[in-house]
Amino acid sequence: MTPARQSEVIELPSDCSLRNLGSLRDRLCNVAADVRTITLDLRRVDRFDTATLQLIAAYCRDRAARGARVLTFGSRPAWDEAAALLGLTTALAGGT
Amino acid sequence: MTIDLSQFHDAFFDESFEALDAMEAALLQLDAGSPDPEMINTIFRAAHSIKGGSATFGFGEIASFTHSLETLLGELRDRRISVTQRISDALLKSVDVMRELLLSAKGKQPISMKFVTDLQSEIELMIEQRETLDAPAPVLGTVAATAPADAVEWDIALRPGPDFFAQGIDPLRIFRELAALGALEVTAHLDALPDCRTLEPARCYLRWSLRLLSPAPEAVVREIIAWVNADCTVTRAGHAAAAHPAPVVPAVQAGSAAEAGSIRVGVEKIDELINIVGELVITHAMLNQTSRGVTGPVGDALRSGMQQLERNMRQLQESVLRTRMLPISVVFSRFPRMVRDLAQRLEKQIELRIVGETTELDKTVLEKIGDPLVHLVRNCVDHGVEKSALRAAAGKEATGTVILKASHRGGNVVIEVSDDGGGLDPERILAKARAAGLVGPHETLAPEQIQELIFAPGLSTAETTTDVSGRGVGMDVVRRNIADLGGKIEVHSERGHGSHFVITLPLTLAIVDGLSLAVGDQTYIVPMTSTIESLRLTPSQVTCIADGREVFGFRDEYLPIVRLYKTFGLTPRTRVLHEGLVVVVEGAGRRIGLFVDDLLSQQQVVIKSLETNYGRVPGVSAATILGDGSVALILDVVDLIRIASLREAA
Repeated sequence: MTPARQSEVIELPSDCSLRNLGSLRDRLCNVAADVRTITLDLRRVDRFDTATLQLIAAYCRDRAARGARVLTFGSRPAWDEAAALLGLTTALAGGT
Repeated sequence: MTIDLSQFHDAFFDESFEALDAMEAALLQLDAGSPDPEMINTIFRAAHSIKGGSATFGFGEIASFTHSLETLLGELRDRRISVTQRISDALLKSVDVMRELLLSAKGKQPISMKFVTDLQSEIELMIEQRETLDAPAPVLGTVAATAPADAVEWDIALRPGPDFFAQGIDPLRIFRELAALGALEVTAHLDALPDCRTLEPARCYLRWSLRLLSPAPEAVVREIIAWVNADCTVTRAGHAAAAHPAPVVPAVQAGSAAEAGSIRVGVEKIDELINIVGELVITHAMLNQTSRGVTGPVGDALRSGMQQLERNMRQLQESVLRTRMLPISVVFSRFPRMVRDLAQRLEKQIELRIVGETTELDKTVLEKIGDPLVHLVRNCVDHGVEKSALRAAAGKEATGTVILKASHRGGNVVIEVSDDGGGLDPERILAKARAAGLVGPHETLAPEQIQELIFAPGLSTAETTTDVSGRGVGMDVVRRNIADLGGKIEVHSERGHGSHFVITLPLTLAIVDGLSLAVGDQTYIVPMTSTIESLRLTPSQVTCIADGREVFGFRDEYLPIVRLYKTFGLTPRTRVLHEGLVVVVEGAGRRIGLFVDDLLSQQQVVIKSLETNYGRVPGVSAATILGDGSVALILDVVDLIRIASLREAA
C-alpha cells in the first residue's frame, strides 16, 4: 500500500493571467486528494488577475473542505495587495 | 427589453478611430522628460473612451489591451512613472495595435494576437517594474486612518455578468482606483463559486460589496465605474439603492457629439442633398432662360425674383457643399508619425512642419489624396533630406525640414510638399531617361522638362532601392491619381537646395469651374484647371507632319492639334484652323491644342456621372446639364492626351 503523500508544491507559472488558467486549474485538480498540505510557489509569478485569484480561492475552499491546507510560498506584495483589494484575503487563506 | 448594441458599432468604430488619431497626435507632441500634463490627460481620455466602448460592445481583446494601456497612462498622469523614450515608443506602438484590433473587430476578421500580447506584456512589465521598485504597502480590506472629516460614505454593489473577465475587465484595477480615493472596505461574495474542477476560469462567479469613505466628488466615484458593463449601483451609505442607480453608460455615448454641437450624418444623405441642389440649380438656369422672354411688369418682377432666387441658390449650394468638406488635417495627421518612424529607421534628423491644416477639402478628394501625399512625403524623407553628416558637410543645419502646406487659392486647394534636401539631380534623371529610352541620345531638354521626367512611368532616380521607396513605380501613379481628381502636380527643384511639389486640386468633385466650347451643335466643358490658353492660329503657325498630323508652335515647344469634331464624329461649323480657335490644355505633364469652333463662356457646372447614367465614353469624364436643359459633356483632358499619343505612336 502506498503511503499518503503529506505535501506537494505547485509552482505557478510567470503568466497566470486569464489565458493560462485552464492548464493551471488542471494541474491544481490533479493533486492527489489525500495530500494534506499544498504549497503554491508564487516566486515566478509576474502576471495575474482577478480570474487567477478567483480560481485559487475556489481551490483553497475545496481543499479546506477536505481538511487540507493550501499555503503560499514566496508571497509578493502585489499578490497580497490584490487579495486585500478583492476582499479575498480570508478565502485565499483557506477560509470562506 | 434587450437593445441590439450592434446598431451602435459604426459610431463606436468611427469615434474610436478619431480618438486614436487624437491620441497619436498628442503622443507625438509628448516630450520625454518634461511631458505636458494636459497632453497626457488627452491621451488618457482617448484610451479611456475606447476602453469603455469596447467593453460595452463586447470587444474583450480591445478592452483588455486598452485597460493595460490606461493603467500605464494613469501612472504617467500621476507622475509615478516618468515618460521615457521606451515608454513613448511603446505608447505609439499601442496606437498601431489598437488600430489593428479595431479594424479586425470592424471587419470581423481574425487577427494574430501575438503582437498584441507581446506589447501588452511589455506595458504590464513597465507598470510592474514601477511597482517592484516602489512597491506600495499592501492595501488592506479596510483603510480608514486617513479619511478626512468631509468624507462621504459610498456603498457600491458590483454584480458582474459571467463574461465580465472575457470582456477584458479586471475588477482589481477598478478597486485600486477606488482605493486611491479614500478608505475602501471590500467584501467578496463567493456563494456562486463552483467546485474548482468545474470552474470555468474565464467566467466570473464573484460579487462584491464595497464601502468607500472618500471626500471625492460623486462624479469622480461614478466615473471610475461608469464604463463597467455590469450590474453596478452606487449609493450614499444609508440611502436607498434605487435612488441613485449607477449610470452604466458607454464612454462612447457619454462623450457624445451632441455636446460638441454636431451630429453624425451618413455621407449618402449629404450626397443625395447635393444631387437635389444640383437639380435645383439646373431648373433655376432653365427658368432663368425662359424668363428672358417674358416682357412687361410681370417679366420685370419675374426677373427680380429670379435674381433673388439665384442668390439664395448659390448660398444653398455652397452650404450644402460645405457639409462634405473636412479639414485636411484628417490626412495630414498621419504624417508626423510616419516621418518620425521613417527618420528613425533611416537614421536621419527631420523636422516636419505642417501649415494650413484647417484648410477644407471635399471628403472624396481627401480620401483619394492620402496615398499620393504619402508617396511624396516618403520620397522627401528617404531620398530628399540627407543624413546629418552630409548636411553638415554641405553647410546645412543637421536637422532637415519637410514642409506640408495647404491653402485655398482661387477655387482650388493647393497642397505643397517640400524639403530642404539635396534636390533632384538633372544629370542622373536625364541619364536614366536616356537609358530607359524615354529621351533620345541627342535630344536636349530644358531643366523643367528634365524634372518632369520623374513622372514618367518606370523611372526611378533613387541611387538605391530601399524598402521605403525608389522602386521605379509611383510618381506616374501619383500624377495619374491627382489627375483623376481633376487636379495637377508640378515639381520645382534646385540641386542642393531641395524639391518643391505643388498639387492643385478642385475644392469639390460635385461642381467644376469650366470653359464651355462649341463644336458643331454640341457644347463641351473643359475644366479650368486644365486650361492654359486659347488662341486663333494663323496658317503659318501650323505644320503638317507625317500621316496628316498637325502641330503648332507654343512657347518653345510643338503641340499636336486635336480636332474635337473628329474625336467625337461631329460636323463642325468650320474645318479651317484659322476660322476656329485652339484651346491649349494640359494633363499628366503634357499639352495639346484642342481645335473647336468657338468659346462660349466660363461657368460653374454641376457634375453628373456619365458612367452611372450611361457608360464610359473615351475622352469624356462626366456630363452636366446646361441652363437650356441640354446636356454638355465634360472633357477628360488626360484621356484626350492619351488618345492623341496613341495616334502619334500608331
